[in-house]
Amino acid sequence: MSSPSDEYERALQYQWQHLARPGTWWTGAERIAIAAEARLAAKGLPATGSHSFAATDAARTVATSAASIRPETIAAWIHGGLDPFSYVEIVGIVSIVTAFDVAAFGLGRAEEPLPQAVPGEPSHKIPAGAEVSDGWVPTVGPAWAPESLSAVTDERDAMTAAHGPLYMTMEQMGDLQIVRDGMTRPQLELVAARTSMLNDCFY
Amino acid sequence: MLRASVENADGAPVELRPVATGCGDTRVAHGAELIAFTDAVVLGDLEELPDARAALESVAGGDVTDRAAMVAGNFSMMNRALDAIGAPIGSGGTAVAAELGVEIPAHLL
Repeated sequence: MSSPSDEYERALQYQWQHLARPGTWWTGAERIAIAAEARLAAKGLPATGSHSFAATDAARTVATSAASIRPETIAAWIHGGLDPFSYVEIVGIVSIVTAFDVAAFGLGRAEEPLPQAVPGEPSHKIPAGAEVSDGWVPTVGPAWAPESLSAVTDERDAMTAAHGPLYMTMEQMGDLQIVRDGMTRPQLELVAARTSMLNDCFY
Repeated sequence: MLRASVENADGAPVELRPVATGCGDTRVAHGAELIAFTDAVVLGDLEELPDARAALESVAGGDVTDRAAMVAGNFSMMNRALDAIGAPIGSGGTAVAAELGVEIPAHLL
């Protein structure tokens, strides 16, 4: 049976390979630049300006103060040239990199260097049924946790792939007696809830 | 999920208010150490992390401590994704918020 840190390492390698590849709306190099911008923001460092103001501001805001985002904030980014689908990809990149950076800090690991970009062009694929429903950006179906990034299928899948090793799989969510590495479900949920409180998140 | 998950563990009542305040007895095993460690991890507190990690390790072990770090990472991801796309909060969330003693902002309802 593997340890939590082994599980982290495997998940990290998977996510870093995903991050480096061309995405749906951004190239590999652009995706890594977005991740780098998010890391700079999280450390309180200034922007590099490698992207448009809208993309840079979106990446930095999702990294540092996602709870401050309102429909008008997103509308301003869109007015500034950011496509709603490419915004969802930014949300995915920043959220996933943050997950592994926060976990690494708690695990006592050094920050993982960002990967080298894989050449290629974004796919520009829009999944069938992607439209604004009860959230602020397009989703496939309701805007709830498992489908929050569903307008960009690869990011939705990457987030699902991170969720299992870091916390538990979607299938395990219904198991209220689950114990992970000695952590009971109430202990798991206590950490989850406290994290959300610290992030000013009410979900 | 929070309320359902903690109610079904062993039948013992769990106090949610300390989740919001950061202090008090949650009635979850090693709750104080888990909260202190989570605070250090999520806030990126280099000064507090060594002691918080050692305290949790001493009562719950290294694997629990590592898992707690990974859960904090996972929810840092989920929080950002949900806040950034404007996912609405359902009635279950409203009830838990009341129990936590917090008010859900109007833009999320």
